Amino acid sequence: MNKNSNTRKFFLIFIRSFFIQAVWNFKSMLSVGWTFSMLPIANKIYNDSKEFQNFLYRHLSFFNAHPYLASYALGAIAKLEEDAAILKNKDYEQIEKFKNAIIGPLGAIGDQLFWAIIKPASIMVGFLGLLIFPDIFQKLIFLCIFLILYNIPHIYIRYFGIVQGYNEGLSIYRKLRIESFSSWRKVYSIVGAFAFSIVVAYLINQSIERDLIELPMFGMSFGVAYFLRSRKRMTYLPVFIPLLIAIILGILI
Amino acid sequence: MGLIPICLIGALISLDSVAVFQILISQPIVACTLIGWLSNDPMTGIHIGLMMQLIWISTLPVGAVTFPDGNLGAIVATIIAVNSTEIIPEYKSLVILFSIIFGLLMSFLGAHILNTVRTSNVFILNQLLDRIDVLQLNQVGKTISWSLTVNFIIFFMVILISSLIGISMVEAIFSLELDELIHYTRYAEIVLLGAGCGLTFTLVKGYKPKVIIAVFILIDLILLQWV
Repeated sequence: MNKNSNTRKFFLIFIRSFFIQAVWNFKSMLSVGWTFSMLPIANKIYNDSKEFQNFLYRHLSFFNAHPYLASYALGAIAKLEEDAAILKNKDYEQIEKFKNAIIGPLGAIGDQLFWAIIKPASIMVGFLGLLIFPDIFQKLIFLCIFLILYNIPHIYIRYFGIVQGYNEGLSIYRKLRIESFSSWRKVYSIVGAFAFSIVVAYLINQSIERDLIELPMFGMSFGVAYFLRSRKRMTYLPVFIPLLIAIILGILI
Repeated sequence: MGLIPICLIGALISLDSVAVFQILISQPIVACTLIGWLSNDPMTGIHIGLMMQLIWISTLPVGAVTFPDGNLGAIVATIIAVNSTEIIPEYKSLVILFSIIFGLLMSFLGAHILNTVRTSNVFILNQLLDRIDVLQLNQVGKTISWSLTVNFIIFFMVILISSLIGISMVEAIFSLELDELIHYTRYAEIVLLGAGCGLTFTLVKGYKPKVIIAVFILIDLILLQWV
């Protein structure tokens, strides 16, 4: 198969992968979006309607992963499906086992890498610009920087995940470790920490300049929210309890 | 731009949150700024976007857990604020605070709406499987379009109805004499920002990184004081 047809194939899967969460449901999770992304492969290798039907049944059964990291699985399964169809080696059980085995690592890496590091770090950079700069156009520039910062690794992993998955096939499993993404993690952790520290320092400085009593208010809410979220795993109360305390103190002071 | 077109844009942006693309245009700092701009009040949009973003930044949509839909809440809060501050400009800070609290409650409701959408998607999946049984094999793309349309309509209805409720609540509450309430809630904004920073700090794992960030904050603070 020549390089151009592979590039076209990867691009079609890549574009469709943006819809991978479209019919997210509690029964088969990402399976509909996953199958939609795999259709360029199926259209190419299955001319027989019964085989196409079986392909749809297999892939609509169940799949879950982080939406971006799923691209590694898309590439690898595309390769395995092609091999199974072209080489007449119809070992679909192996494909199914591989798909199920890869769900855990893809979810864990994606959550740790994107939701816990890249997303908050990129947002913090945008946040910093919006907070500090008075001019609306400077603020908008920082919003664009945030979107670019976030979407560079996002788009990269979406596309090259498919390419790597396809090239590696089953052995992509060995690459799916959080250590393989340590450079992204390091860079974004530093950027995020730096931006966050400036945001906190700026807010403290602002409260000192406005009214000195705002400083203990800021400290109280920071501490209460941090404690309730990290120790008690609460979602809403870390916001509402400090707010309530602030209103009571506002009445009393 | 009128309320209905703004709600349509809000619903479109909401799709980015959980259904398509996920390029993060649905995050409060982007979505609220955009809605504020389209409503000729970008600064109110930015203001609400900053507050809501900081509050929900540490909420991780891990796996299939139900998480607060902060993006939906932020969109509703901005629509309420930009539509109400025009009517009651003298109570702008209080209107923004009310909108944020309303948006926080909407985030809770949004989580349940998302669950409903995901449950209704099971029905859409079953319909697809029924069609495949009778060899209608070109239905996957159509199913995706159908599901996105349903999601869009649900988000639009939720944003429109909750915005109308919020705006009418603002009009009712703010017809009263509220000067004292402004005084009582004067620390609310700094407390929300502090809580947001505290929540964000929970994302930092390990003792050493926390100490490094604390040192960074001190250095930045000294530099800011000096400047």
